[in-house]
Amino acid sequence: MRYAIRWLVLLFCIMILTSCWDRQELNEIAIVVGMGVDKIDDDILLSVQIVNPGNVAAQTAGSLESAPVITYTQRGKSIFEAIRKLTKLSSRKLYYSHLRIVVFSEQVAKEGISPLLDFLARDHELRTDYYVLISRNTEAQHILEITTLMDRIPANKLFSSLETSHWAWAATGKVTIDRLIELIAMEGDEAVLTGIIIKGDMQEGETMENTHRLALRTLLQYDGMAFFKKDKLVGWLNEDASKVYNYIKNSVISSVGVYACPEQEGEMTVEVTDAKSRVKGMVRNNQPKVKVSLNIEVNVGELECSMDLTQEHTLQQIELTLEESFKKVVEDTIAEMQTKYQIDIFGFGEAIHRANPSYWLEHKEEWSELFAKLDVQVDMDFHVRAIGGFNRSVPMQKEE
Amino acid sequence: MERVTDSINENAEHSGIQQKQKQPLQSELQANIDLLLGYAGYSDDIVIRRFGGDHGIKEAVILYVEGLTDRDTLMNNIIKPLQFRKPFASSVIDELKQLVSASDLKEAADTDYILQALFSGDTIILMHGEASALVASSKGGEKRPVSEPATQTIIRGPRESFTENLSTNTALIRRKVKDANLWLETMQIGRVTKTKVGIMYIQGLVQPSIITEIKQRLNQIDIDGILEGGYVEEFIQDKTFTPFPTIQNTDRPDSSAAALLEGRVVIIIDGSPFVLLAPALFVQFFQASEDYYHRWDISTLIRGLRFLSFAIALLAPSLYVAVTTYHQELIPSSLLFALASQREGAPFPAFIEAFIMEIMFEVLREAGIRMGRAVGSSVSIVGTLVIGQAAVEAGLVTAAMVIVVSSTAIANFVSPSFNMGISTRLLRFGFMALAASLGLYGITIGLIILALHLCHLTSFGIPYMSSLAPYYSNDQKDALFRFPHWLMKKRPQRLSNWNEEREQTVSVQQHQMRDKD
Repeated sequence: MRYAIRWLVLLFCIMILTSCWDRQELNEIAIVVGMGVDKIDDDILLSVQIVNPGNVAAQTAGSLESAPVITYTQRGKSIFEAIRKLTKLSSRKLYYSHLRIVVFSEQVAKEGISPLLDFLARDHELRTDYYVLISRNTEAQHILEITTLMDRIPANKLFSSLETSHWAWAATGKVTIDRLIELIAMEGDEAVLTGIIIKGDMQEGETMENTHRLALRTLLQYDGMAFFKKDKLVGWLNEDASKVYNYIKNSVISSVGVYACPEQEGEMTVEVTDAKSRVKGMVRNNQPKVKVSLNIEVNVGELECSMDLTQEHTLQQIELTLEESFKKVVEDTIAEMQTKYQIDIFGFGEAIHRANPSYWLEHKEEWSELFAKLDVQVDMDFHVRAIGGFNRSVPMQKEE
Repeated sequence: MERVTDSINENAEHSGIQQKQKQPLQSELQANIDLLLGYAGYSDDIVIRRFGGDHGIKEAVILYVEGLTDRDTLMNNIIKPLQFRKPFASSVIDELKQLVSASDLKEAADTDYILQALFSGDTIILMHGEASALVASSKGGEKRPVSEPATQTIIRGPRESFTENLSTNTALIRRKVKDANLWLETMQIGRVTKTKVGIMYIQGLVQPSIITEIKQRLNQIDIDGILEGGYVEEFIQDKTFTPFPTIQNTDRPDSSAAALLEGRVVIIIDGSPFVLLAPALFVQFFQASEDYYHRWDISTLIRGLRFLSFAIALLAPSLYVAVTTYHQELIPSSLLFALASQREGAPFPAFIEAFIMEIMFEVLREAGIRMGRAVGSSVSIVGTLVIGQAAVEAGLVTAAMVIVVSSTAIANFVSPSFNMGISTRLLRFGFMALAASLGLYGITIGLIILALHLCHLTSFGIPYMSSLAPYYSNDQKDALFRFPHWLMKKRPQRLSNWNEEREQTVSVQQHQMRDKD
């Protein structure tokens, strides 16, 4: 009995003495899903997208009276200051654990983002699983002010469409905050972030009426990838270059490529089902050299020309064509980065570092110049694995 | 039994009831009648019938209590022979011994014994000029027939359950286990109620130490009345201050027989359709007799479901409270938005909300049990409408909370034993308080304390968590899983560690024992 009472007293003490230090009810917090960082003069303009929970749940989603999210913007000397100052606008404490995306404006990125990343990585309330994007040709604030349909929370829409397009199209990159810091800090590799643009009229996109149309007049769309020199944005990769970047970085899951038919008019489209890349650095005669091997498996997806796919040599011919044309694209992209920007976004420096650390230690300061002259050998290996539902293309059947 | 009567005499003054040494019978008939009736306060349900007294036939008087006797026995075997008596040369007692054809006929002079027999349903025959009486067994009277189990219902399996009558219950068990080694010992507990308590076990399977322990604990019970097995259970359980039952109860003869075959002891209390099974281990409260009647794979799955339900019933509301008030980052985003939208405008904190709902539910459940069957359905209608719908529509509680509380309740109903279910209900509130004050950290603390407590418990010396902690690989066949019967060759290790093989019959052991004797 005494024993039991003692336990009960102890338990009671645990309950009353510790107090409810970080207890917060769901209706006392404002869930932040998106964050945008712009700059005005020397100050930071911070925008946050907050979920309006009353208007996102399934049962109330039909009513379009009020917006599913609210975007607040506040100016501050630092991100943290701006965050705390945001409580002047919001009725609730902002809760950052469900942050999906952080958008930096192109302007901010050009000036250097590392001072801004410190808070994002340091604060305990933020997780590290949100994606970092660059708003192209517009302020980050505006990206967070465009309404979307289907996924009524724009930040959520950006999050999931980035994942989908990365999976199926491979011209976008998913970079989380911790990976970004790693890339910035790493010598011999540079950061590359996906760009986002507003397609259509910005004014109209900010209203709920935008979502009332069948064809939305204003949309958020991923466009190109921004590459950095250290923490400063230098330029943009176009779609092809973005893909090449992803291929070399071994982050292509699936994609689609269009190539000219071998020895014929018309084009063929292949579906990439598996892509593996190996970047191997070596130092010969004190000269760095990088070998990129790409091993890509494809299915024939669409044929505009007449080919008999039942013949093995046809498939070999296709593979050969694919290898030749894609190799050229890859080589051109690498060459452009070497000659035009001298920025090693592919991580070749890191490959050299791994292959020959002592060489790297000696030459890392002059890597930009070395990269410009770097001998890059590209090995391409395509395999056609499947040819789809029928053997002979429709144009071929027509000829018969 | 002797000890019980001794203690009655020793402690006579403690009891408010007249218990002092009673006067024995004398040779005067009327004096004897008055003596017995006087002790019984001339209760009106005692029937007196006189026979003979003239034509040379010596007078005899029978006494019995109305309603406690078996009518047929009384009429045909006692009254009829007495009525048509012829004059007899020798002593009246010898005469009656020959005439009365009761199944059990004893001669007694001890008033205590006679009175007790009278109130157990026996017929007392007093005779002219004799200082002793004949006690003819005629127990009977109204009793409930064997019916379907009301609590532990099953789909497949025997549909009989124990009744309030001890001898019916022992017979029900004997019908399942037809072995001479199934031994029954009875004793009397309760100074006033004088309740018959039987212990049944299979000699040779049960550990002798457990039998000794149980008998010793039963003998130490000193109480005026035993009205249900619960009285006994509370007296003989290993630990009082625990929410967990350390003795199992069942109203199913097949479960009892299975327990006997595992080397456990069945304690039957006269007047209760629930028998006690001891020792009882934690995992046994999650086993239903049906587990052994269905296919093993299905049974294993269902048993897993029960453990899952136990966890849900114990933790669901506290996890909900902890996660929504402390660890919002753990909830998937879209679920969080859905929950948050429900919480909009909710007047109470999540913990208070959960607490109110749980209390309301417990009230409803209690009302459902206490109310008769006729009004039971109206309770559930009011409950569904008030708690389920109106409260949500009025915005007083969130729909998510209703879902959590009702799934908790349903999960709780899965428990095959009611007393384990109650423990879960009790602990749930503790966990909710811990969750509300400390979040998941608190729940973890609670679980650690719970695990320590469970491992600390014993049931008649056997660790409560046996086969899990301490771990017996052999017993895993029938703990969390239910292996096919042909793989369950051995009995539970701790219960029958001297006779494990199930195929090995008891008699082998038995003969050895007799040789020793």
